[in-house]
Amino acid sequence: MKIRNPSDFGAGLLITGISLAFLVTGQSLPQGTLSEMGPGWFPRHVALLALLAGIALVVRSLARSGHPLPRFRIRPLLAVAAAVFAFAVCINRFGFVIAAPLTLLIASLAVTDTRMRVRLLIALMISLIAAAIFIGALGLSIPLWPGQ
Amino acid sequence: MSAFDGLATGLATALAFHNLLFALAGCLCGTLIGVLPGVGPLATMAMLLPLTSYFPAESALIMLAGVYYGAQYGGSTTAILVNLPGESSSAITCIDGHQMARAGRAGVALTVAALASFFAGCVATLVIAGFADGLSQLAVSFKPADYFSLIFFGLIGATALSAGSMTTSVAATLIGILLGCVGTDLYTGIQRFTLGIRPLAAGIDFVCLAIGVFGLAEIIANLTRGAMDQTLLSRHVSGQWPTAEDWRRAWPAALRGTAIGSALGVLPGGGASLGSFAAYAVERRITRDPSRFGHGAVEGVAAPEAANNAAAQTSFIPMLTLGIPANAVMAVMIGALMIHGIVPGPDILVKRPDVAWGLIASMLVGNLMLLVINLPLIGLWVSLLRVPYRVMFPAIVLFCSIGAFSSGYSAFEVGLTALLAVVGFMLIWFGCSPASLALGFILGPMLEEQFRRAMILSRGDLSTFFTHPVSAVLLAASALVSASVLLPTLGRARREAFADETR
Repeated sequence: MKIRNPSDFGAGLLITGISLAFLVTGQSLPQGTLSEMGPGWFPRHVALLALLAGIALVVRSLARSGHPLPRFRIRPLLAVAAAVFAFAVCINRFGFVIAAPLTLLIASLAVTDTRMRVRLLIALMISLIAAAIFIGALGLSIPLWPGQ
Repeated sequence: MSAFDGLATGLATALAFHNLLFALAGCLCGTLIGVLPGVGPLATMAMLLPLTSYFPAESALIMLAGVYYGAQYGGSTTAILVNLPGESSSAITCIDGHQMARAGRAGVALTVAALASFFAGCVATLVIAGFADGLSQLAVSFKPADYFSLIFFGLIGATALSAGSMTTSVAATLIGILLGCVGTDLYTGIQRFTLGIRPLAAGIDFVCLAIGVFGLAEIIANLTRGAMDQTLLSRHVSGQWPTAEDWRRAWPAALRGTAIGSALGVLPGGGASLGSFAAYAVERRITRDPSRFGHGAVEGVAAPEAANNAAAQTSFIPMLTLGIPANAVMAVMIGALMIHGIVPGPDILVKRPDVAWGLIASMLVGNLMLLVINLPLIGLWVSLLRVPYRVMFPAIVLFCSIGAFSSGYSAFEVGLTALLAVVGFMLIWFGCSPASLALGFILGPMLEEQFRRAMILSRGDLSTFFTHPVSAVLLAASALVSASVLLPTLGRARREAFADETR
């Protein structure tokens, strides 16, 4: 067996995985009958359909050839996800003054062709602008300082 | 309320000073992100969504709508000057618009694009006003079974018209519906798929999903593809009036583009991109000299630019009259309505005429503003294109984080957004449409509710969907749409298999 369409194969696996996760976690939900549907009936049937679609994609990826996957780089994915996670972890504990520059700095690691000094400068400048816009002008109640 | 009274009511709302400011803010913001490649109106609207909870409902919608159609204006600037689509709906404008720019006629192309967009925008507003009343009166008589089938038809239509294979879009839609099931079941109060995490009891916030999938996942995809920095063709661009010959060619094309865009915008899954591609294809087909296309034909700018703006606006029709979003942008608009406690549905025109008609009327005002924003101020926007993407994207990541946080002031939701961004990126990478996912997410709960109500009313008899005439027609239409997509796929598949054998 040879994977002839990597896009379909990847999508199929991803969708099969997600629908299986929903089927397993929804197992204990009452199903009910058609005339008196429980909370589990609708998601279970949707998950079964999704499972079917996922398997169909995997089968199709073996049968019919398609474009190769575009080049993958782990760096942008890790950097952007980590930047947002950092914001989530820091915002309530350390406030905007720490969270924003940290997020900008981690995000800027997604590309390699910038010098560290430039990254820091960009992080500080954009943090100031963002604080002025969102907290100053728009008045969002985002904690600004640590322990607020 | 007739269309005339409605527009009068709406103008009173739209011309209120604060609403003029909101329209201006939306249009400026839309033009800005339209000009910048790599930031779409969807991500921007999702980021602004939490902010709009501080405004009155009509102001929120007026501003968000301004972002959407403003982006159609801005997108053409980038397409013409840089040969990069500022928005996907301007991709087709690159072909002839950029050739005009290379021939030193950038100013003409920009003027034609702006005027065609303006004309189309005004006509489309009148189309919305004309449609609004009739359609919503039709929908008031809908039963749950009819509603279920209508939503089903909307989802099928959207998957059929989205890029990529039908199976992939259907799968993405189903995953969206499943994600929409997370949270507390409305009928029984039982928690579903929350894994005991307390903030999930209220469900996944649409803002998190939209920011994660359309904002952050797009950025990751752009960065992974690389090469986002652009070289500007010329530094000095000014408005330049088209010649008599240009006028003669452009105005019928703009007229056709407006008609095509207005019609395609209403379809489920329709919207700006579909309209512009179709309009360009039609122009190429009906012209006497197709060889001019691709070498700076002015029709190739006028028609798609008119079409994308017309379609952007008429895609509001299903949302305003039936309460059903035709595309992911409209899903965000529904999200904005829900934030203000307005349940979208056919009665929105009756219950909140100020909101619905105010929005429609604001489009007239907004298009006029955009003409001013885009023609004399073009130089300002062009200078924005010199900001490199590697400076811009960290800022967008931060704005996305702030947007996710400010929707509920919950750090958990920021983390959830990051998780959804990873899932969204994987979907994009494997060729699934994130728009289908978002549409499934928004429509899923409505679909389930109508399904359960229909089943209660019919005592579990599934044939109710075929015995209600409206429902039966809609289901037949869904079958027809999916068949029309699947059959050529089957044909192509067979041909491909055949080609493999002969190779």
